[in-house]
Amino acid sequence: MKLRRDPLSHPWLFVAIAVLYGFSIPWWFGAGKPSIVLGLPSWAVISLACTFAVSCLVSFAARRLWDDGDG
Amino acid sequence: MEFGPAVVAALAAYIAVLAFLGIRARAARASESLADFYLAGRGLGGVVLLFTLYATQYSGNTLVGYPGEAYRVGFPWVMSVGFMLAIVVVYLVMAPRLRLASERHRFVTPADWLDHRFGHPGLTRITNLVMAAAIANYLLAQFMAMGHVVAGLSDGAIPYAAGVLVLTAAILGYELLGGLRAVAWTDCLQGILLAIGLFGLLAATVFSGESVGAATAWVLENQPSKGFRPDATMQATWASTLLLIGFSGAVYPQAIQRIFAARSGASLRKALSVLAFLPFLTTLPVFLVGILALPRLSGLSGVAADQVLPALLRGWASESEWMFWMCILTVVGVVAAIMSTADSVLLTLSSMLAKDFVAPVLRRRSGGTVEEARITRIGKGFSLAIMAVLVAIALTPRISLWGLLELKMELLVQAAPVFVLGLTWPRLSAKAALAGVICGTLLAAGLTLAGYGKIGGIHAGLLGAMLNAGVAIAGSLAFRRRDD
Repeated sequence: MKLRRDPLSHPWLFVAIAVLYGFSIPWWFGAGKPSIVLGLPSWAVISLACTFAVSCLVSFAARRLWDDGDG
Repeated sequence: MEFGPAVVAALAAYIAVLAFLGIRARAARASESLADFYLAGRGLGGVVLLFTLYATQYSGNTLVGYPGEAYRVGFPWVMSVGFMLAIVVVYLVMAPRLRLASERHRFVTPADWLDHRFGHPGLTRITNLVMAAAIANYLLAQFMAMGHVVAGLSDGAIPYAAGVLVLTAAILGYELLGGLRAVAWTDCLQGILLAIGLFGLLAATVFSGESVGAATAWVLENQPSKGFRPDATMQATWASTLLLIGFSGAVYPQAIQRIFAARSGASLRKALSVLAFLPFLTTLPVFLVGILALPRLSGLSGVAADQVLPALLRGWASESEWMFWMCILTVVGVVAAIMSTADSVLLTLSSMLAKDFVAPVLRRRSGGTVEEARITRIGKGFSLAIMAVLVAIALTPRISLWGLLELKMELLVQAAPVFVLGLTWPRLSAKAALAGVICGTLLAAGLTLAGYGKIGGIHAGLLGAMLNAGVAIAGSLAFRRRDD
């Protein structure tokens, strides 16, 4: 019994998730005073955008890259 | 109506509905088998699975602790959205293969998979002990949170001890009646109440006339360290927290049992595809509430982090009738979040003790098989015993216990390399995995108990897990080479 489709056979998925998580931590942002975007500091908005992209990837992978052949 | 009595009335109505669901779940049981009691007969569909994973994953700490953390740390606490999502990322690695194996081999507890994969009693026992110790601490924390939250949010109308006793008795009642079926059904109610509570919280913040933009401007002007880019140590903690929560949250035994309880792969896929977005509907609003508290509570010196939400709710409840009822809904949502986590942990802990620790002894003594109905009865006895011991501790809390609670995630993450590597790397050997768990647990527990909870911003538990995985991989390669 094997998975018909397994998320682990798509390494690009986990590389993309790792890169997005990497940019969700604001190491790349300057040390000065941030501007306010959508009511939040700009670095926090970009962090949330990266995290939301991870949500989309995970949801896509759960629906499209995983099939155990049964549902 | 005053705030305290209104909270009492709302909680009484909520407990009555829980009792009704417990009785209905009892009527729906098919047998007294382990799978029927602990896995709802492996019949959880996508919607129930989503709610039970959601209500179990988000505890009272999410609603009470996280606004306090956002208030204490400031904008870097936006990391909480990412780390709750990280749990779902690790599910994506583990769940497909774990569910398929459980369907074929009819697993009931995480130890069943460990036995199947490694066939090494020592590894199963040690990993099970690590997980059981971690979730017993977690359960105690939920019981203590019940008392504190109900006493704090009802304005003292319900004393701490009464909160602990009444709510734990309610959990025990519906759980003994209906097992996981009752827990999953009540999780649906609790998940809905949690969502309504969050909606109430958001509505309360919006209608209180405070804007997030104004709060952000205030923070940048008056407490810039909470609004500017976090420093290098905080960035390291951010990365460490993503990994620690992601890996430890995914190997919660109660989460693994829900993977076993899924009706089909399709149910689990649907549940996880929605669960991936729920941090934005749960942890993000809670984070914003903590940020809004910064200017509002700035005049109060020394507000304890976990008193932020009660302080805000009491203030908002007095502003209008609409706000009053939104705050009542939030209180019920908080209690539901705590109970839905506690009931799942209790059920899983009793199944692990009965099936993994006691049943093998009975089998050895009788020299044959033991009836499943008997193990189920023993498990119910363990539920009662665990509840009695932990409630007794919760009613006489000692401060040192909170030190033990900090060990929860640090301990639990030591089970992650066994599961993640065991599922993804066929060459992982049992001996190397066991050496890894022992080394990692000793390092994490030693550092934490010695007062080094973090080193350079990195959690002791994560350092232990890295050593754990390193020993497991190096050991497997070495054993393999020797065998070749």
